[in-house]
Amino acid sequence: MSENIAHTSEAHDHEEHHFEIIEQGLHEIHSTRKEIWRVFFILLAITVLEFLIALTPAIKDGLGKSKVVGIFFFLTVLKAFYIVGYFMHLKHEKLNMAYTILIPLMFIAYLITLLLFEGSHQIHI
Amino acid sequence: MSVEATANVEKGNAWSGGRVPLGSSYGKLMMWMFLLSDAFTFSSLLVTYGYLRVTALPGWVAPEEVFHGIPFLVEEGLPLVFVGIMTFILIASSVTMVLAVEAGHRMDQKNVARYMILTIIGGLMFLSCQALEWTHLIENGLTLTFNPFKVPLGPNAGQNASTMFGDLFFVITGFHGFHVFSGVVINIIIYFKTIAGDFQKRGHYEMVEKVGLYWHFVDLVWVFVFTVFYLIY
Repeated sequence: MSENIAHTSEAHDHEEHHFEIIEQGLHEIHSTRKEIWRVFFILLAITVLEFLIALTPAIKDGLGKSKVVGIFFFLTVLKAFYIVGYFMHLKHEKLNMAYTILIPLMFIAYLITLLLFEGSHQIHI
Repeated sequence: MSVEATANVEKGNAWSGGRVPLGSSYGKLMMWMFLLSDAFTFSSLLVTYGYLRVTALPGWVAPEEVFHGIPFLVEEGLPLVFVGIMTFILIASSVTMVLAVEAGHRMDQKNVARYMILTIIGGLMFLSCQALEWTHLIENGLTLTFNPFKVPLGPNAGQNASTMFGDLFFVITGFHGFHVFSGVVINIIIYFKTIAGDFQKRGHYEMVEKVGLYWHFVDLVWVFVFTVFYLIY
């Protein structure tokens, strides 16, 4: 009799453990999906903010062109960070992998900066 | 499964070979390398855009004067609303793509197929919007050699703006649109392979991840195109 009880309790433990694993899995799925939607709403909010700045003459005139363009570029890079980091999963890849992709792109930023300075210098000649 | 294969070879010495470099499968790594080279291509176009724009004579157009209607609904007076809809469609299709990848990790064939079809619909909607916008601009007279829009500010205000605007707009958004088109075609192929059960048999949905990377890249490029053409004034 007592042996039988021990057996059932063991089976019960086993079952509970099994449920725990399933629950853990469900939790993981839930948090991944939550992160996806969180990133979606961040991207949406940034885009809406960009529109508000672009469509409000008061902000544009108040801050001046160079500051507004700077804000636009900052928001664009922020959006790029969320897309590459979370949607393309680069944030969760190995650091060496991320460097392999990101370091070459830094030179492009350098080239853009150089050419914009050169171009705006040329037009003032 | 690729994850297990990676874990097994990880145990070896770093310099004795047999180790997966960068902890990524061959296919995914090559997709990243392709995207990096594609990023260079788009960057060269955008660098050209920046250089030509700051040196443009007699001046540049005001984006809210060029993009201010919604095809079939409103002729004018709603600046940037249509491109806002396009941007939203592309971000939403990126989300459905990443949900398809997530369903693939769970071997959930039905949901992968469902989210793939939603992604394809998003891509087709974006392409239709772009076709409408191009048609609208061409009807208004914007071509590769003529720019009907005026310079809004500065000493040359009121003159026809630089013809470079039409060149760069059609070339860069066209090149991006071609990427979206290719993405939709690849997505359709992957959708049919999904419903045929190919990936279920293979034991993993890595192909979905790879096309996912490409699709997010297309979204990423649009973020930059959107800023330089529609936001900066």
